[in-house]
Amino acid sequence: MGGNCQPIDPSDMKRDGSIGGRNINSVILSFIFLCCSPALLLQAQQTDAAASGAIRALEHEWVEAQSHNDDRALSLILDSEVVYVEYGRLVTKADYLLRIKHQDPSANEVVMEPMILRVFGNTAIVTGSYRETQRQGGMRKFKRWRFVDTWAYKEHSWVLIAAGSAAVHD
Amino acid sequence: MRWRLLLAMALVILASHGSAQDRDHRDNAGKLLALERVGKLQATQLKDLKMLNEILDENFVVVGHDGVLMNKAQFLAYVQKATSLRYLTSDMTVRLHGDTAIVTGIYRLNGILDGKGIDRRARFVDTWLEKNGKWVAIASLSTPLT
Repeated sequence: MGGNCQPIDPSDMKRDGSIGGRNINSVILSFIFLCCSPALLLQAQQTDAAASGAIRALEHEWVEAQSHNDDRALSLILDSEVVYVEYGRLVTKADYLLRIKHQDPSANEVVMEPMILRVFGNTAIVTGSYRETQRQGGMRKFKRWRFVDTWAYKEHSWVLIAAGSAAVHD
Repeated sequence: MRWRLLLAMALVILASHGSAQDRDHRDNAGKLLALERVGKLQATQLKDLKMLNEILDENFVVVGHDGVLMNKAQFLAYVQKATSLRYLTSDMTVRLHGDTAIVTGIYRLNGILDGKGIDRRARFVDTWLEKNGKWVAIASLSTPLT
């Protein structure tokens, strides 16, 4: 990576400030660009890695908060304008938080499966699947869902702006 | 007198900034609805793979109503395979978050796929991203209406 930064031989410099027929300013600019571009690339990769780590943590935090009726934690994860599709219905943030606050935590169990994350600057898409166990009147129902979540970076943190899932037909 | 003039100027600037933002918001919402109707739906119906290729990002992913995950290439192959597709959309809304937009709505799709007739109604959630002044779809989800 640092191999792009070639030292300048002073004997190659002309009086008018050009090196090998090129203006010294453009040489300096090229030098800075060559030195900085790997650093910028590395910085972008690190930013993506940091975003990826933060969003994965938030996905897990979401499941945890849901299983503990923690509507306050969920309120911080969800954007006020979130679009949330639950069992084919469009629900508002307020409706969702209200449902979570009053649901029986033992009635619903969610186990996350591996997810794939793509970062597009200040936006990220997470796709994955989870298994849901619903308990109703002594009966247990299993369902597998595939989801798409959209996250946006707003005011120094990632928030969920859209989420929904479709039942996997086995 | 001078501070009143300054205050009036500041109010005019703020008001024009606000209305410019509203205009941008309306313009982008209009563009996105047109892309949904003409771009995505008609292109899918007419199997216009060139147009679909333009409006779908290289990293586009879609989760279908049956929970199947497809990437861009798989989705284009799916469109190519279907015959007599007819798409109708309704109840579309756009929410803008800077250079990202979420479009939701309901669609009705009928046609023939793998020799079988299909007729379904589903809710969709599409994520669009503005890249170099152009909106491209980066993700889509369909889920049956309940």
